[in-house]
Amino acid sequence: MNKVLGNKKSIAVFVLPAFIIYAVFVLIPIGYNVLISFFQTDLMSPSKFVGLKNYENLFHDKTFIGAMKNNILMVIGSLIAHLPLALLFGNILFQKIKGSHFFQTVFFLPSVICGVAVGLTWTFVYNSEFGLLNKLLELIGLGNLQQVWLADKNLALLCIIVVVMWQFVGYHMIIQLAAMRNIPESYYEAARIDGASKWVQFKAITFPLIKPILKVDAVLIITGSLKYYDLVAVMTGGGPNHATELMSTYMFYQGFRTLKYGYSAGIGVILLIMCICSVLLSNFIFRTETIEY
Amino acid sequence: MKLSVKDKFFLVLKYVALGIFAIICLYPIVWLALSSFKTNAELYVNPWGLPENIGWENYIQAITEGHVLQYFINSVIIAVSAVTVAVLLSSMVSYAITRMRWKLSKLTLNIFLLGMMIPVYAMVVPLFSMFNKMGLLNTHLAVIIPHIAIAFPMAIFIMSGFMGALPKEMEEAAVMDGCNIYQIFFRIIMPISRSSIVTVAVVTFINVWNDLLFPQIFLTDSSKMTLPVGLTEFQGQYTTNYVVQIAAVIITIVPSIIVYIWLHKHIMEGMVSGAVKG
Amino acid sequence: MKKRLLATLLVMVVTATVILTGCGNGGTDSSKSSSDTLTVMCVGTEADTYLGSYKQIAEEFSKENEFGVEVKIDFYENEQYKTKLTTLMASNAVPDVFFTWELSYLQPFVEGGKVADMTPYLEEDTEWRDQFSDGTLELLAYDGKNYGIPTQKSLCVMFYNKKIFADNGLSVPTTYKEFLQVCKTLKENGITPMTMCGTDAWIPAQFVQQIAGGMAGDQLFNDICEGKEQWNNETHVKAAEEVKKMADAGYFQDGYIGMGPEEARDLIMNGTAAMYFMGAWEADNIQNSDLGEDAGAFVLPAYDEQYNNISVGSVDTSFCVSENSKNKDAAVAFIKYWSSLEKEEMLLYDVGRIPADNFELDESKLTPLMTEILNISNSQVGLTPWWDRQFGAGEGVEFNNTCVSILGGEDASTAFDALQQFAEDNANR
Repeated sequence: MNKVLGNKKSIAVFVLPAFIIYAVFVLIPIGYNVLISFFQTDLMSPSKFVGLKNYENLFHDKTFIGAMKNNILMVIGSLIAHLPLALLFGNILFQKIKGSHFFQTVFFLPSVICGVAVGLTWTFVYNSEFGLLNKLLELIGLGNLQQVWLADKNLALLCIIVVVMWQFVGYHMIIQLAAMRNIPESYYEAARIDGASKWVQFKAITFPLIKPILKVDAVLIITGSLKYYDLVAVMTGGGPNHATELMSTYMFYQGFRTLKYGYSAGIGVILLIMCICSVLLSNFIFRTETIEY
Repeated sequence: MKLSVKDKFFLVLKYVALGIFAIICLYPIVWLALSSFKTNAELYVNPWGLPENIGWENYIQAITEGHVLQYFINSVIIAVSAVTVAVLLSSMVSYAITRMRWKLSKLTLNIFLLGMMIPVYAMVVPLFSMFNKMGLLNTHLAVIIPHIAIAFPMAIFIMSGFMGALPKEMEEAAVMDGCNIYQIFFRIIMPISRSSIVTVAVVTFINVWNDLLFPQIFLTDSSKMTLPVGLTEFQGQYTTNYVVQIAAVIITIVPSIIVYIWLHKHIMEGMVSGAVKG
Repeated sequence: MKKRLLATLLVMVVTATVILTGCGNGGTDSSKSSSDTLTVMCVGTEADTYLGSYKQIAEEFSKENEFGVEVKIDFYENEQYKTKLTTLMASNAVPDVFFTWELSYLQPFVEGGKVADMTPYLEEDTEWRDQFSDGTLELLAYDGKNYGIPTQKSLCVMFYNKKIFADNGLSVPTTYKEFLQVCKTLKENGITPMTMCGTDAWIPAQFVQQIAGGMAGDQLFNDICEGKEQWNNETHVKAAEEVKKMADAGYFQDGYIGMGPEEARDLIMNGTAAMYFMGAWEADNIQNSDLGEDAGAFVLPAYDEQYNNISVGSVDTSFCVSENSKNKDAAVAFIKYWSSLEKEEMLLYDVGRIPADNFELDESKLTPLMTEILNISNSQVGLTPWWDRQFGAGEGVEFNNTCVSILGGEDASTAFDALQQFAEDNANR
């Protein structure tokens, strides 16, 4: 056994191709990104080393701070939709219910559609002239609540967050549902014999047993919403007046519009740090002993 | 089993909740599909109802003037190549990490998993200058390679969860039969890992198919662009010709939906058996 | 056995690579940048009426030129063009000839050594140099050297619907007060006085800039450029408030703040709105619309009469030659061909593009709308380039955003204070 499974040469054949690609095209770029964030550079004229100046400027940049706040709001919105709401639907579908398969398919559907198409679709929904939302308000007699949704700086971000919430509920529901399906049926049988209610079953069996997955899922949700780009790029382009700017769109703007690549790289590094922090944080919140089942 | 009144009430409530959310999920898509057959004027006057007559003009215009077909082919080339390579290489790594015996396996796994936290935007500028030096800019490879690389963390995460849970006896029996490691991997492990492989393939496919950033930056010729970029270009070009835009959106999303519905069973299986053990 | 599998594996990897590389390189234009092809990159989409004429120029040059080069011209949508050119610049893959905006847009590329110096070519052919209107070449000159050649001029005008004006007994306003009166009358008669776009920030911003120019003249513009005046000066605040007042009075269409440029333009073209403040480049689209012969143009009367005839305007459709071009002579010849009398006339008569040269023009061939626009163009005493061209994607774009946020309800002086703060912070990023 050991001779076969411990053979250095075959291990190298299995691991190295992927590792080399990964190192060259992920690890090195990240390192390079960290490096140029210490420079003032447009990648054409000679670069100038500025130390931490880019970071200092970033934290005095109102637009960047605004983008960071927007990102955090997006994380909060996603967490609300993708943990409790997804868990609720997941739990309903977990209990044997007719049409479960159909609902799973339908709920998952929005997450397979590309962000650009989703963005365009919802631009039509929010369109102030013929959009679904305003027409709907008119139909139910609330015409005075009609808005220019995406052009209103107080509403635009909310509108986008709603789309993100909508798009990925099904995705996270499936992950959580998958975890539930993995819990041995005997646990529930025992609980039923003891006369435990559905709620008690959820609280005492389902939830603790899928906690490790919820942790992983929370990480996916948080890092996912920190990295969001397409929707905003298509729906508002960060406007009106940066009201829906996210760190990713602002990074693109600073790099590819104003040619401040060093500054732009700084945003990337902060984004990375925030992602890592969020992982540590969710590890802390969902800290569990490993449960074997 | 008889249901009490309370149970019935809850059951109805559940269906109402599920039904409402199903409508919220489906309606925008159905609305789009219907609108894609309307004329622009109809869209304003009659946004809710069925189109007056089913005409394919919008689709024809999207395909002929919008070059949607060309974008479609490009998207297929990029997605299929990236998915194939990513699945093959990541399943090999997952196998080596979970089943083979070497000291650095845990560390290697963690290095790969670290990648799940990396925002791709932080890689764009460096990748851009790398591809520039390698002469890969404006080739499909410049989009395929980074997609393969960023697919690894999630893929390895799912597949190592699955493979780690396989019984050890399998390889033992195979070794007894005189199989070497490659035969074990390709003939035994790969086939039984099918559902997790499908999951990885679908997740990767959806990510690649839907990506806007890489093609937008690494490609310059419109003849090499992918569908999402084509869609944004379309948005700029046909700003008020909404129905043609909508038709293009439909053309873009239909393949993802087909792939998903086709492989739905495998995805569920894969997630149940794979991701969960992670 | 093991070796064979390893070999199979290797073959698979190699095949995969070959297939992949094959896809990568097997695009449609592998002939790129061979010495007999002149690559040109330009802004434009199928929706632009000028596209055909531009392609025609490229085709004719391909047939006639003495260098034996064939022009391959590619068009991109505006935003995509900016991303594309930026990335091409950083990678030294710029086409031989590329479209550019003037002033700060081109500057980093010039400083990065990516743009060919055109001065020797202009000095060699003084006749060509002298054909350009005063001051147009300077907008593309850095450190006294010319890097770009403007082929067109553009300025903001107020398009209007002659029929609506006549039906309501209105005439073209000659003072700012009269202009407001026109808006008021139209509004009272149930007609949308002006159509405006709120989603693309530069459109309301150019209107604010025009009114500010009418309040303080082009001195204000020059002072800001030289750093003698701040962004949060009284004139800016007052001009933005003026536009906000118009919006509040309902002089713009309902829901304008959420409307895109084409949606807004549709309203003048289908006769819903009476006026539309926009660059003269829209003239051809407008005269080809339902509006047709009813389309007219006037220059917005200045708020303070002494500053009449100072408009937002600049050069347009300028071209540069890449420093890396292997065909510089042919590239310059192509631009020269484009800016020749014959081609400039064609672009003017056919698609309403105003030449950047002081050619004698045959007015009989002009459409009525173009005659009016050319008269306006010739009567301007000062042109101030759009702020986002002067300052590019820093203060320029933020000026635009500031204007939109004021229309969205933010206090004007607070908003401009923030812009000034941004300008100070942005200096050392």
